[in-house]
Amino acid sequence: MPDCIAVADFNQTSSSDLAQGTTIPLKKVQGTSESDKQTLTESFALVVVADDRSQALAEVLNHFFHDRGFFPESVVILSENPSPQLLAEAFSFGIESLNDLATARDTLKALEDQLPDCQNPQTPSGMIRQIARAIRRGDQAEILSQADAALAMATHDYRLCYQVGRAREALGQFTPALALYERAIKLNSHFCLGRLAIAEGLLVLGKTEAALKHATYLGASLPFSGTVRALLAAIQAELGQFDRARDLIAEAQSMQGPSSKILEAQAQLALAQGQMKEAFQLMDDMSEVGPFFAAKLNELGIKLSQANRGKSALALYQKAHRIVRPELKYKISLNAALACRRLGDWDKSLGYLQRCEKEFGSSFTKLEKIRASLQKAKERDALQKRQAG
Amino acid sequence: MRSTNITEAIIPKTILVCVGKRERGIALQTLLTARGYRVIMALSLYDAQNAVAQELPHLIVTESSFEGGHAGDLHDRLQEHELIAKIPILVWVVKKTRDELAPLVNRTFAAVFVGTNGELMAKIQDILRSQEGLSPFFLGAHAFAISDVNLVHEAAAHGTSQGFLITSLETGINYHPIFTCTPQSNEGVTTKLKQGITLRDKQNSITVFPLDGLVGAERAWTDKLANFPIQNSKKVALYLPDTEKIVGWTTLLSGQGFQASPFQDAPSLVGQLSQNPQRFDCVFLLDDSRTTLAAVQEQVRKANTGAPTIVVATRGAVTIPDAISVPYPISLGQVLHTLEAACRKASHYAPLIKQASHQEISLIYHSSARFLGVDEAGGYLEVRQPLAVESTMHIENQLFAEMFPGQSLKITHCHKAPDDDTWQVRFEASLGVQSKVKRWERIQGLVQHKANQEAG
Repeated sequence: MPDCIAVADFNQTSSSDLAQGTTIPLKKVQGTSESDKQTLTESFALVVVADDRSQALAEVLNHFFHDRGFFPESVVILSENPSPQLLAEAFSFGIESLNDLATARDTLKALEDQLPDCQNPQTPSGMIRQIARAIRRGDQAEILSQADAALAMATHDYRLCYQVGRAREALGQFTPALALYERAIKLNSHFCLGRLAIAEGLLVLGKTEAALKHATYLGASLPFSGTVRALLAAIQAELGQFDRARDLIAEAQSMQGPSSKILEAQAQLALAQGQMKEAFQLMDDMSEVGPFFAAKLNELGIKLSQANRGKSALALYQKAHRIVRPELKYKISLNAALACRRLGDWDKSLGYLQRCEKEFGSSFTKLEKIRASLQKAKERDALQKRQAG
Repeated sequence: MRSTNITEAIIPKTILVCVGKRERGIALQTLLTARGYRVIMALSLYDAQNAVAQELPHLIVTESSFEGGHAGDLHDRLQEHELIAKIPILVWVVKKTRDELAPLVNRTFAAVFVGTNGELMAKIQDILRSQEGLSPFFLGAHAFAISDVNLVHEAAAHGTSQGFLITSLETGINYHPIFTCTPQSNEGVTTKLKQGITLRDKQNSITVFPLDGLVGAERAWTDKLANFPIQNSKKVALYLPDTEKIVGWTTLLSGQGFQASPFQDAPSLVGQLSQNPQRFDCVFLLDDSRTTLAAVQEQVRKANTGAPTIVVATRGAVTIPDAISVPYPISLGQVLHTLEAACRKASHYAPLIKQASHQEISLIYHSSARFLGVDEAGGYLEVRQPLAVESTMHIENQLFAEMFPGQSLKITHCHKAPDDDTWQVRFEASLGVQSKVKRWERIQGLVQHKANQEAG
């Protein structure tokens, strides 16, 4: 796919001027429909035209940085009269570049000039993109290799610290990921995404009070962010403060309308209160679910399986597999394989293992052990059947 | 090569006053000095001739007679030398007698004047203005075929403090230029420093740069610097007439640890400042109305100590004297950096800088300038950021090295162009024992040599 620049024009202004600023194809996006997502995945840079924040804008930025990797210089916001809410949204994503529409051509030219660096895997821009692509594919071996290659350069680069942290997180290594995020915010004290990642990571590690401290700080510095309110709600739900969690969810909804993050917090609250059916319903509209809720779903699936409710566990895993981020899918496939083994369905279990191997990018010790045990059980069954026959 | 008019405000005018009686000379000198002229006094023909060679004045104001000769003699001596022959002479006739007037006959003077002191001042101004705002000794950039030059300033990085690099940079930065500097800590790394803000008080001047944007090798060298922990208040008066937006801004700044006091109308803000200007560390004007700014600046000027720093969000590339300007469309990060810096004082850092002097790292700053020309004492540049008067710099150019060998150039004037975001600066080179005539002859020789080379 040729590299392109995505243009998200929320002001519906004419972008003919933009087109004259670059020789690189410009592709319009409006939100995060499947075709928009495809465009954002192909884009190495993003131009946003907006004066105010919107849910669509937040989703576009979120998706772009997830696929392109966190490189704030690759996003430019063109605005004539930015509202404080837009400034806060840009700030929450670490974007410092706001320009007048009148400078659109120069802006495009400057973005175009970034392409060689982005295509060069030896530069921070190129490394960040490579790591993001590996995470997108969910290939654990590749993520590991890309993260290791970038680590040496990350010491004094908050962008690389964050992206390598994302890679560690994708590998399930939350403690080193947290150290990298801590380093990132030490290098750039205004780096909100880094602090958000710390709060989420601490929550996954069960350090809920510490997570609350970071999330509360973010709540004050990003007073219009529904995402931060949703995170605070999830933390309060974890702490058993259900009323507070409900209030925060309501605040988040009033700030940004429906979003996967808010649904995640709602489902988390439902699970914490033992309302499984409600949580299941909420999961229908989720996407790109992060490690905390994914871990919750895995934990619940294991409990169901261990309680001889294997079919319920498999139904849960099926749903979870559809909504979690790509790099988290392999764990769900592995747990599904284990649930099938418990049910005695060797072939189905081997099928899940095969999917897990594909998602992981290679085999790994635990997977091989399970596979060997399945082969053995299958052979034993076959022998027993022959003997019985 | 684009031609630029050099503003009169940065052209120092030297006037040689030749008088028969010291008292009359002092009276004239007082009047001229009050109008910003540099005045040299000569009481004899001999003194006058020496002063002309040494100082290359832009104008000679002479009485018709004085010790050792008269204005006609001085005129004739000047005509003997091509270089100084073009210095205009204004003859001030004190007495309209035959003896006084006879020596002036058949000689060309810029003016022969009979009248009051006030009229004399007007005449002097007229003659100097007729020099196209420049010295009679001026060679424009076209004569040297030089357009852009690199400036080098020496400074030091003293430490880091809560996300800022603390440097001494002798420039008058008051907005957000980009400086390229080379830390002299043996890595050979060039670092681009952006969004510099100069904090200045009577005794101290420092320039701070946010560290957030520095990555990789550009950042690594700052680890060696001392860390200065500073606890300062962050009280900001926020002015914006837009009701909806001021609520948003107040919420945002409060969330970032600022004590933000919103003002929607200028009289309330000015009233608060007039009562107690020290109540705020910083005044942030999100509306760049010139009337409001002028009223706020007036109140701030009245405060003796602890006056708040003024930050103005400006439309277009406009820089405002005595204020930090942040051009629209502003980003929140940029505003936070600016306000955080503006709430600090240079005096906070002075003792810490002294304590950590053993850890400081020398910096060489590089910036570019457009060369406008040279005159008998120095030269003129157009720069993209203000340079502090009295600071020194070098110009990286072979021809400049030959014109001003081995010398630091001192900034004597800095003036903002009214129409765009550029400044014109004048620099001077130390003369040492050399006379201005000798140096001007050398400069002319270099130009001639260059022209011959190009022709050959």
